[in-house]
Amino acid sequence: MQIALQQLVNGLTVGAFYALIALGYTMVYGIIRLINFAHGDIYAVGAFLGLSLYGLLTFLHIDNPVLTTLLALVISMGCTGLLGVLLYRVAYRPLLHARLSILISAIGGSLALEYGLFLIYSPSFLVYPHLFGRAGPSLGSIQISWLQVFIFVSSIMLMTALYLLVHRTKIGMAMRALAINQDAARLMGIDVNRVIALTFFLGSALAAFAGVLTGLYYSQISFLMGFLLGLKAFTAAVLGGIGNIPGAVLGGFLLGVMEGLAAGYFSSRWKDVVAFAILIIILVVRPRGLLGERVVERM
Amino acid sequence: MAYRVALIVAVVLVAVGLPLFGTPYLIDVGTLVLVYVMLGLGLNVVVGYAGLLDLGYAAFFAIGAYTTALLMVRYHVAFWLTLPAATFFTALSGVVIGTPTLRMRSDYLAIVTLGFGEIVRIAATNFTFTGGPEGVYGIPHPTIGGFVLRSPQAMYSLGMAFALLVLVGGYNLARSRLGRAWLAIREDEAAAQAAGIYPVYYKLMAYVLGAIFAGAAGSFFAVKLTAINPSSFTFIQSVTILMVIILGGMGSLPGVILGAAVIVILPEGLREFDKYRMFTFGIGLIVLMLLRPQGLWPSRIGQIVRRAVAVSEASAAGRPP
Amino acid sequence: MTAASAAPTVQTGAVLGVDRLTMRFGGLIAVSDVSFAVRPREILSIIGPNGAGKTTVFNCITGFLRPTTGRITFEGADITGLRPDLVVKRGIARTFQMIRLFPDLGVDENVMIGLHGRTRAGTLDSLLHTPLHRREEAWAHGETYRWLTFVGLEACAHLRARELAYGNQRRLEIARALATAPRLLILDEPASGMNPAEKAGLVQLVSRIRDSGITVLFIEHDMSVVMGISDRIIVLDYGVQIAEGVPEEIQRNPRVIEAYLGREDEG
Repeated sequence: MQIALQQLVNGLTVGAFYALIALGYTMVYGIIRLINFAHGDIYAVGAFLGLSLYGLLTFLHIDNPVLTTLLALVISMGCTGLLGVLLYRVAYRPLLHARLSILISAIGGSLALEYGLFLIYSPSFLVYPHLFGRAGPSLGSIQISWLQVFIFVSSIMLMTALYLLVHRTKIGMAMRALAINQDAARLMGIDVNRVIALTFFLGSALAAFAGVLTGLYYSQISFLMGFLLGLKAFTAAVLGGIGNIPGAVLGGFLLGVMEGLAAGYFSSRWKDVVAFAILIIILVVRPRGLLGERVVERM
Repeated sequence: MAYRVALIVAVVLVAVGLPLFGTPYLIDVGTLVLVYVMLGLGLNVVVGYAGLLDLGYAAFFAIGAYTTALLMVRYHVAFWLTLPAATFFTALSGVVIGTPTLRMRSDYLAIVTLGFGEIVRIAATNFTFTGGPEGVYGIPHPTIGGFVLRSPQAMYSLGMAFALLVLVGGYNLARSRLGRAWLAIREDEAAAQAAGIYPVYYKLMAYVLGAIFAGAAGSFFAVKLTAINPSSFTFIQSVTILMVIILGGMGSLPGVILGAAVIVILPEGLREFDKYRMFTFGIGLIVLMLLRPQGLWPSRIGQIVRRAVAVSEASAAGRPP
Repeated sequence: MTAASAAPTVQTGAVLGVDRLTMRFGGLIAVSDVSFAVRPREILSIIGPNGAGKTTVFNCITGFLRPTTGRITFEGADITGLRPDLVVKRGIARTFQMIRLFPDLGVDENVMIGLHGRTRAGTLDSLLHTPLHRREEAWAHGETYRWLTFVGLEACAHLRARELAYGNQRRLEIARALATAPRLLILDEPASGMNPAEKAGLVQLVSRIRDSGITVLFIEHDMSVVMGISDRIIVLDYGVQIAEGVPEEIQRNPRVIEAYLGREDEG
């Protein structure tokens, strides 16, 4: 029971990462029906930018760990968000009506980002600053750090903010309208390109948030970190029902917890196979996911 | 048209002249081109003819290679006898991955095949039976009536024989009842059904044939290298094979040959820039999609593929999700 | 008396029997309790205002939709819910309301694809171009030209389908359907978008198809076409069959006039 609870806590932490990244997949898919293959690598870029920012802030003698972390998070989110918009402008927008080509372009974007990090930073692991100790609230024998608490709480807050943005604001309504019918939305005077760009910005910023926190949590990052994590986050999005924002959050936490619990019972070498098997099984058995609507197929 | 004829003549001359005049290194590079020709032709059946995006194609390559390698090393089976086994196992894996996925949306299909490719690679890495991360080594050279195929020339010739067989198969398929059925499904699935075609069966056939072609390439690859390990069958490998057919022009057979040559020779020529290879690859994919999505040697089929996709996208855009 | 125990609408000798067909989409009832029979070698038209459920009936017959309830029989055998390609193999061919050709393939290839179910070269035959495959391809070429000639498109064989004029695209779609060797041909608004000359040509073509022994069932809006060639007419309105009879009866039927023109007190 104690192991299970401990794994639950760890699973919720990893699940927050999955959920944050899954949101980017689900929003982009919901709006332009694209599996943004490069999204996992956007997350990696966020983590690397965060690392650079920590370096820069140290150089500027700004040492307060809370302040530097907040600055690293915000700046990395902003820059990565813009990178996401740039990726959309350059690699996706001209190909919006060519499904195969846009998917291949996304794979190209993924490789370019991965190996761009490889070239700019390092082919090996890089170490993140170790700012927060293992100390945390005392919950009996379960180990939980303040960092984990922060990851969980801040993620939930961000996700709530996103949900409110999409469901309570005018721009959110534009996003939802666009997801349903792009042509009709255009006719209603919605600036389709701006809304799509905003979607990419938000998704990428959330991924960057997850990226910086991943660095702090695991204390090391690598240029390929986004490939597998991206695939798993996509699995989470599909699990929850792609295109569905609460679904992505649910899917992310669920996958995190399942993996955490499975780690105890399975050999960790097969952990990834389990994740992929889950993905394939969901897509075959229930492609609309847990909360998703039925996806219309072309006749 | 004239430049195409000239190019074909040049390719034939190089292909014939290489084993006669080339250095062992050049012949080796040529042999590797042949492997990618086979892989490209196989994936071309799946993506180019039937229009199913497969991002885990290296898995079939791996299954062919491991079948031959393990049978030869562990059970001392002759190379030629491993071929039917490789064909059987790759075809079976094609059915296994194809059957549940064929009614799926095309982009879901891409991600499922990617997952399948990773599962096969991870399994090959984890099983002790497959030699784990070290893979299988000491794979014997194939023999023909007591003559051991060992020299670069001999391996090149064997590869050429394989590639020609696959090429003839690919050429025949494009001009067959089966090929027409694929085109029909590609262009308009409902119209194809109204013409009496059962799409699910033909999509599955595309998978199975594509898998078998990759399996043959894998068998040859195993005896050519005499050692294989999981690192040859990564997602990057699948993307590389996809790049071969995209570069050449989807559905085009001369395009596949051209694409294979470029994908093998370019990195060889730029060895000192090796660390830029994958980055350039990624940028190259985007630029190619933006500027010349029809590839270097466009075919009619490739144009159909893109137009059909664009049309289905346009009609889907009119419907609620 | 076995004849008496048969369902009343399935008349002996009927080519196609539609028996109490109902199709619901969620809460919407597109077709409600429609029954009719198509007699051998007749031209039967289904007419009705837009949204009357005509195309839905066709989609149920040809296997593109599975009816909610009801039974469809073809030449005495139950074909309810059969896969579209198997329906074709049984001998029912169709065209679509919006033309659905293979626009980037050749005119001749479009017809050859219609021959798919009449050839049987398999994967290996296709891969190896076996003698069976070669024999069939040669036969298919001949058969293709036969049907192209029948619809008058033999001179356009090497064009792409998209390059044909609109009326000729309709003809090509009919040729593709005929290539499947149907005994029942179902045409969904073949005259829509045609000019008067093309319509006249279509009427003549449909008559020739019937004369060659094929039963024709079609949906049409154009009354000049419908009244000109139909042996019998069925009228649907809001998914319900409101009339059935020869053209003269239908023209005089008050319910039909009402459905088309609306009741006067509604105005």
